[in-house]
Amino acid sequence: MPLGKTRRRLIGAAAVIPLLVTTPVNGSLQSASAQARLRPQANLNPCPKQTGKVNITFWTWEGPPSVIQHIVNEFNASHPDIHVNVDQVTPGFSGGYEEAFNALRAGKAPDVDMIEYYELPNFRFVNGLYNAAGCPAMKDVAKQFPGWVNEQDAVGEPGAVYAVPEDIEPLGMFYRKDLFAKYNLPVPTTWAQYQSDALAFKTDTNGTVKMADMNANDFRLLVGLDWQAGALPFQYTGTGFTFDMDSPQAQTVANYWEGLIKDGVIDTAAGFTTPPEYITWNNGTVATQIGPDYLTGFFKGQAPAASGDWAVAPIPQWAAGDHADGQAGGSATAIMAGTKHPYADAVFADWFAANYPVQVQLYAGYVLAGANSYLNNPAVIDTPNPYFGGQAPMSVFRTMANYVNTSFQWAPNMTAVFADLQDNLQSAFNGSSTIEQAFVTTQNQAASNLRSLGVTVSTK
Amino acid sequence: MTTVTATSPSTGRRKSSARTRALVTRVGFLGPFYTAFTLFFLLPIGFAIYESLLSERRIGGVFGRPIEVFSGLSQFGAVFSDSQFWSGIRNVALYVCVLAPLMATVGVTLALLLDVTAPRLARVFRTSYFVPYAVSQVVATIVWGALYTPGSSPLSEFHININLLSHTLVFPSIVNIVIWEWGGFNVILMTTALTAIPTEIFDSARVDGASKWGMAWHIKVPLIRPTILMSMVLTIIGTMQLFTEPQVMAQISDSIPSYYTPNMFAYTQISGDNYSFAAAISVTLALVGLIMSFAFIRITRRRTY
Repeated sequence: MPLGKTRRRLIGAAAVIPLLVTTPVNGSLQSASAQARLRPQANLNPCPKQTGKVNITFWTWEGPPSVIQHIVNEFNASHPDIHVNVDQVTPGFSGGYEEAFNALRAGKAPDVDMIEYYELPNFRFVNGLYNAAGCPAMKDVAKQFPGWVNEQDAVGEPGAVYAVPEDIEPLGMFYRKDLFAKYNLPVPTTWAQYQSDALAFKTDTNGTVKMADMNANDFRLLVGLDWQAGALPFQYTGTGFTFDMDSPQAQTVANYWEGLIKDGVIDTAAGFTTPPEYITWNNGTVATQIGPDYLTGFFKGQAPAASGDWAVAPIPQWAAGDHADGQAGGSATAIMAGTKHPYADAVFADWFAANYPVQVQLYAGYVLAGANSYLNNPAVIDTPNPYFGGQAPMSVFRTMANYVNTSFQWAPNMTAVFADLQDNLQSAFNGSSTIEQAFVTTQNQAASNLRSLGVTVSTK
Repeated sequence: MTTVTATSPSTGRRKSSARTRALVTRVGFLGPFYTAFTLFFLLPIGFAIYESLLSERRIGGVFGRPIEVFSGLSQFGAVFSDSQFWSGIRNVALYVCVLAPLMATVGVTLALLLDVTAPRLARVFRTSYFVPYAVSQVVATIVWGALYTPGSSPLSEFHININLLSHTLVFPSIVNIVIWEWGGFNVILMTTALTAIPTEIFDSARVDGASKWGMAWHIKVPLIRPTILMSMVLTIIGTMQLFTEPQVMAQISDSIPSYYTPNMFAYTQISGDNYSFAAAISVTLALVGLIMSFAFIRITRRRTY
């Protein structure tokens, strides 16, 4: 509430708000940026080797910044013709994507940008990505990563290379070793067992130990759980698009967690990676946390008091003996539309994918990189992590990565889908609606949003 | 023209050079203002209006070519039929109803108390009331957010477990932050108005045997009424643009949807690259703000003079 500058405020009602929407100043369809948006994407873009030295810009929020800068310095030293400037930006999901969308409109986008897999289709949707499949550095890119990771980067276009994977984020289960031992409960391998453990904790601790935290902030995790259950909520059908967010698999997931909440075994005051959740990680009031591998870093940083108490296990399965998983997160180095140096971009993106995992692992050890050279390097992956009592959490996640459902795709308007889903889950978690209803409402809103952007949309 | 030819050439030249100088002065003084006004006020508004009249079509499937076509007022139709927009309007209306009288009451009450406090003590209090105003809204909200968070809240020290970020309590929680931030500003407004009251009035009131309470209620408050009304207008306009506090709180609270206020709704739509729709929301909100400001200025003028 800008009660400050009186004068600005009196005219502000008219002035301040339009400013928000007018970051690009060039307003006509004939402007350069609009033409860039209108450029049709050819199947194989030309990718000539540049002459002389070029500067390219890399936007990232991968951290720690000093480590990333160190890695990029190594690249610059070993590639005299290419100089990469690193810009540390706001994480995409907390505003970085808006910045990049605006930059694309204004013709000021970086050459390469860190983008999560789920957001890649949204960038392709605004013609913001460059298909670098024609670049020499991308010739063997498909062999360097597991198949499903490549699928995510091709964004539904066979043979295309819009981005090169950085980390992959299959789901696992973090659990309190000490609590499971104290109450003599088995570490769950199925969701049925997970529920019976949850009820046992409730009885044994008079409700003080909850099984997990979950609220509307867990919207990305819930879609990952759908993915694990085999749901395909987003489907490309010919020239159109289909939402299927209320499939039987999605209903199973929704009703399961709805049931746990009704059982009183979920702490709904704490949401995914928020301060209230870190408190519960520290003080032993939750027994498990379903989440992807990057949480290993979050645990170490945000729950120092519980060092040695947490361990990692594979995610519980819907059927005993099954192996299925989904992802929640994971990023790629995308080559952006409007870049003048696709050749250099491709060289850097490819080099970064192969070289950053080892470095990050050595310095911080908190993400599972997608590169095969890393996944098949037990010396790095199986290094014990002192925080997890000497366990090597990445080896668990590497195994889970083999079980990720490869058919899963993301919608071309995920920004809107996730915003709607989070909104609708708020009603579900405050009791005025249900998780399943949140999926249905989101599907309808997201469909109408995509329709208004000119796409033929159907819903199941 | 005839007058120019009638005068001697030298005076004509002098006159025209004087006119040129006057023009240069005028342009020199007004130029910077109008340049900035055009660049940062008129152009953005014009662009927002232009953008709000477009909508997106697509050639060649989902990942085809987007084209922007003129679509008249259809985006405005979409805004007015959007339940999320109206939910935002309802929320801000609720904030206005609570904040406008509350803020004025806080301002008047504290200013009246300061008015009867020893001058040196009053200065200390006035400054301390004003300090929150100097704190950035984002910082203030983050700090209050930490105080509200169950577990890290000081209330949990006393084993009081209420979630001030919950569905039912997030509204008073945000009201509290806004009052904390802007209360001091309103106290200063009222204090300034109180010091402008001629002291003779109080002398004669004292002679007539008026109590301190009577003077406050029957003399001071009626005399600073224009300021009270202005403070309320400022609060109303500011509240309609409520954005920073809920947007920051949404990071930690599970009860603030992305369309909580109309400004947040517009922001969410831009995030989804839906610029035309966001522009229509912004233009609508600007019009509502404009109408409300004029209406309130009219009402206050009629009431006070």
